[in-house]
Amino acid sequence: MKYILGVSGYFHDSSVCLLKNSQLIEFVKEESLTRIKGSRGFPFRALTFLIAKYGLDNDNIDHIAFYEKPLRGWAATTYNSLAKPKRSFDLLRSQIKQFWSGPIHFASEVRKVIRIDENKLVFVPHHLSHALSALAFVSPQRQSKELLHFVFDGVGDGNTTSIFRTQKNDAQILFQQDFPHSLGLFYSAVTDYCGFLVNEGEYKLMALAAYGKPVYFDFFREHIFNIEVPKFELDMSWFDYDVSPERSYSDKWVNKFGPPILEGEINKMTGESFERAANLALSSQLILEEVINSTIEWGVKETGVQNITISGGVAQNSLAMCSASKISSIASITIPPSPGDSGAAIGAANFAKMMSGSKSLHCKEIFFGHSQLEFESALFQDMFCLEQSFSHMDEMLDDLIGSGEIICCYFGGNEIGPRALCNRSIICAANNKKSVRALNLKIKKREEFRPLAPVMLRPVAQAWFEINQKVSDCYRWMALTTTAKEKFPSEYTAVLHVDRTARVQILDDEMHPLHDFLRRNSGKIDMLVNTSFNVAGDPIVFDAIDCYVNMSRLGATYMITDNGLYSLKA
Amino acid sequence: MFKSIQTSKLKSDASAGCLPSRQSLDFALAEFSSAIEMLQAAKLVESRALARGFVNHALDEYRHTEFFRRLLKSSVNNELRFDPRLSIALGFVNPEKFLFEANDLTQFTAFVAINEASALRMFSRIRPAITGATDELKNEIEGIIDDETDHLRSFTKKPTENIRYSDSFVYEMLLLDEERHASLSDGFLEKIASPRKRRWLRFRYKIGNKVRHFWGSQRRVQHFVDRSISILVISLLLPFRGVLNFPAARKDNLLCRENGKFLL
Repeated sequence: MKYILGVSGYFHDSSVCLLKNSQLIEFVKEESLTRIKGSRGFPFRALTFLIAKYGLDNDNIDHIAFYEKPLRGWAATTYNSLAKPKRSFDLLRSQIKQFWSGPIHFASEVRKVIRIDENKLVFVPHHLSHALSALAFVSPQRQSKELLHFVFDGVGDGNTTSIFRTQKNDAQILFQQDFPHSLGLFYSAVTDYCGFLVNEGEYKLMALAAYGKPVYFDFFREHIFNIEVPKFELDMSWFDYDVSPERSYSDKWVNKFGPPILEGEINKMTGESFERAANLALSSQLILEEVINSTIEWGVKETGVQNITISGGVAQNSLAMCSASKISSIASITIPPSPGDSGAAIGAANFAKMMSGSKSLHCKEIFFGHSQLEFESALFQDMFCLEQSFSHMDEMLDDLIGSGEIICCYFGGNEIGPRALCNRSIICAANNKKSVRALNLKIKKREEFRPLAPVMLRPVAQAWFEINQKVSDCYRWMALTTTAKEKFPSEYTAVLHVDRTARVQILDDEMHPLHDFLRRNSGKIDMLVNTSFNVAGDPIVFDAIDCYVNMSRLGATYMITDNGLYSLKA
Repeated sequence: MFKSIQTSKLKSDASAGCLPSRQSLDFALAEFSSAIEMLQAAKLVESRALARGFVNHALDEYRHTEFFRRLLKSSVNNELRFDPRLSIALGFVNPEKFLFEANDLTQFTAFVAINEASALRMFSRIRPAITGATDELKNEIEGIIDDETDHLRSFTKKPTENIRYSDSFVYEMLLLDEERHASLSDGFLEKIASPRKRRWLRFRYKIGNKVRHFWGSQRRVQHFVDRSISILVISLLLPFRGVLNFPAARKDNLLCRENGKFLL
């Protein structure tokens, strides 16, 4: 039995994945175990959890692969900051602290958890980790062909955008853009300015774009961006992210666009601040899409390679991915389920697998690990009451969802990406507007401007949405948005955003209980609304205690599992 | 609340009728951290009854977190934001070793008892800020409370249809929770530890709290020390800046063992 561990950590969304005999079998986020969303230190608990679960030791581990070159990343930022030490003083202070407690100490941190030979540790270039994580979700037929991998990121190892060309076990760099000119950090700066948390609120900014007008787009193009495809440069006088760890935008930005916007002002969905934030959101979305699309078109034209992957933090922008999927010169696109840093752990493990000549990892599944619910335990039975066993729950489930009940789902392994895909989800009937509204505003307490995502079977998706065949597989994990067709039924409009788009999940897995539900209720409930099983701002549930605590806090009563339908005990 | 915040100016700020946003944030983080600690304790403890108790305690602490987050959100011109990751960055919680892992059950219980009593005293001091809030703040809080009513109902399990919770009511509930937590922990500690051990643990954690609060209040000293060391290190680094400019990544096949060998 041979294992490879892939590790990401220290910046945001730390996680660990495990390959057993060349197959991905586990993916654990540190936040699932600490219960602190976005946990970003060394993934101590995730690593310990996997070591204990599989009895890992120096003998059965082939490699532990880290998702970046820690010294290169640190040196690039420090080198850049030392050019203007007075202005960058705060960032330099943070860099000094990071030198003593950051990723440079990865090896010694690993050894606190497990004794491992030095030569089993592998340090993978950060953007290559992203690219190889995307490669793992490409079909085996395409993996053997030439592929282009576009990585659009904040920053990693001093790089912000990369293009790689791979064929079998050969990978070459085609292009790299260096810090500080970064699409991801530009978008995060606008996120920060609009009152949302950096590395957390970017999807809110994306949702806000639908309410805006592109009034700042031309200004961005003329005064902030200098695009010479594939390169682009930002006028750094508008930003502070290269000099301060606290604030991303500069005083010059504030002078131009007005005082920073507070999140509370946006939630009111009216007024000057909301309008300004929405206009900035749309303008930054459009410039982001322009740079991404022109870079992809350049890469395809330069190489003639038409099968591509897109990864990196910016690839989590499902609106931009929808735009990229429409580029006519592309034959196929793969956007992995976890394109950000968390998923890069898979790419690091894939590197360790491929560096000795093995084929790339291929992941068919999108759920990994096992259920953490111990149905027979006394504590579980203290907290939950079995209403119907799995084989007898259909009728009750149909009645509950049909009558507008909101249900929590916990099945098998966990999702690897940021989106709940029905294994750790909260669902309700999408044609029950009252339930959808209650789920969004009262239960999840999401901002009103953010839409909920629908889940449906493929024939329904093809009938009611513009499904792009080039990215067909990626709809399984909500990698991109799509637009509703003209004939979209009016009773389901609660799942559409204000611009008639939706981040659709197509449920193809016939073994999934919700696939069965949708087939059974075809014509009555063709779509379910699907949101993550957590309280807003908390990580998705991991075990039975999390389920109990989250359901209590959310005010939810029912949970369906592999063992049956349960209700929460008071 | 476990790792309580520094409180030197708390009373005077509260008397002025406002709770500064920084303190609301600190309170929110402290409550959130203790919710996390309780949750972890519930997952680790062997006793089923204790696990349920810890879960209920965690639910209370999450509710308190929400209360202080609402206060924070309603602060006028406040740019501070609640970010759960701050609980680690500011030292409220250490995810590598939660309190229940670092201490045995007796020590953990003593720590909770001391700190819940301390939290009760601290929260009592902010009463003027809650009850004497400006009309604008009150209106904002009331608006948020409308949205929160359903949420609160799930905790209180009382038939509360059509009842609006006032901020004062939520605050009084919070005080009662803290009192209950302190007395439960105290009672449990009496069962599992000898009087001598209880006295020693109480002494130890009280001193520990005082030292932590003292150091926490010395922000100017910390800032001075931090800046001085940073300036020294940066000055030493400056002449060697060129060394940090590493050559671009390799151009040949990247998928080889050599490319994964080094930190660079």
